[in-house]
Amino acid sequence: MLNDEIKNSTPLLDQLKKKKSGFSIPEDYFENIESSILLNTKKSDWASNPFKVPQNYFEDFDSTVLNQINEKKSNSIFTLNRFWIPVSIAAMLILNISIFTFQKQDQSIEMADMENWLEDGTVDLNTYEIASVYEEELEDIDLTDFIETEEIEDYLYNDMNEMLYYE
Amino acid sequence: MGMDERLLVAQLQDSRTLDAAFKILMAEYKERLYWHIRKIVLNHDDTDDVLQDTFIKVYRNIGNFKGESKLYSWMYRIATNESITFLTKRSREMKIDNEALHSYMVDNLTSDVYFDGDEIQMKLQKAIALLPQKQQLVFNMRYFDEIKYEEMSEILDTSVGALKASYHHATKKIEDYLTKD
Repeated sequence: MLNDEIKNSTPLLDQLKKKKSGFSIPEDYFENIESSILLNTKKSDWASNPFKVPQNYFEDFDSTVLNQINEKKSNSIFTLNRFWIPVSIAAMLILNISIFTFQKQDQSIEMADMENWLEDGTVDLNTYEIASVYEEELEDIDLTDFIETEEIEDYLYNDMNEMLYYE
Repeated sequence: MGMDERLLVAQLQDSRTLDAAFKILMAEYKERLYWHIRKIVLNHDDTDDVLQDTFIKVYRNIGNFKGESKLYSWMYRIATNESITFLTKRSREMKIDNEALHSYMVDNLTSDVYFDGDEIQMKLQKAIALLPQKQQLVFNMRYFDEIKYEEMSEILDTSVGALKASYHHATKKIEDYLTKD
């Protein structure tokens, strides 16, 4: 018998056995628990997701997103160049025109002079006015053409200098 | 398995009568299973969660019950496993071992509105918390629930001899703890 099992060897435990455990429960707990359990047994019947996805959708998802990100990145670089290259060319043309207008016959123009004109506003880079003079040349510029950055740099540093020193 | 139990199992395994039979099952066993779980997880709200999970598991798996043990033993085993799983998950979340978790839970009893035990009953819970998990189960099932060793053997899948030895060690340790200052 259980009581004999502990009566002699563990008298304190034997005494405690007569007491309640000390644990209690909320009022009406056992009356209400059944409906809660029943509801939960039915959960799987109506909680299943009725929405479907195309085959391999989640497997392909990562690469789809990454491809889109990479596409946008290369487009934005291309667009940037499409905008700034023609503007750079137009700006250089305007600069050249301004310099030749200002230049005296017997004098050569130093690079330092040009920089000073730009700094103190002597050279008026009104792009719209100048662009109207060189309409034909600007029309020849194909905005869809991609021009390498290196080409632009070569033009800026080499061709411009030759024109400045030409008399 | 008695006639009544065989009939109940047959009704539980028939989809046409499952729900009605399941209500009978709940009415019959919910309190016993509740107190078994409560001794393990200590807190009422956690016990409520584990009890509901136990019955849902019974509902979903009753088709697999082969009648090799009593229905109640089978349910009791599910409740025990669910309780242990719950504690393991909690200890993992809190990044502490099972022993530390149990001590923590016992300490919380002092502020638990659903624990009104006196000092000695609190000390008893602390003593139980210091036992290895298997000894805790054996002690609770024998001391509080008065489950026979043969039935306990089915539930815990352990020999009667090992269970008796386990219970003997558990009671000695607890008694020593209760009598020390």
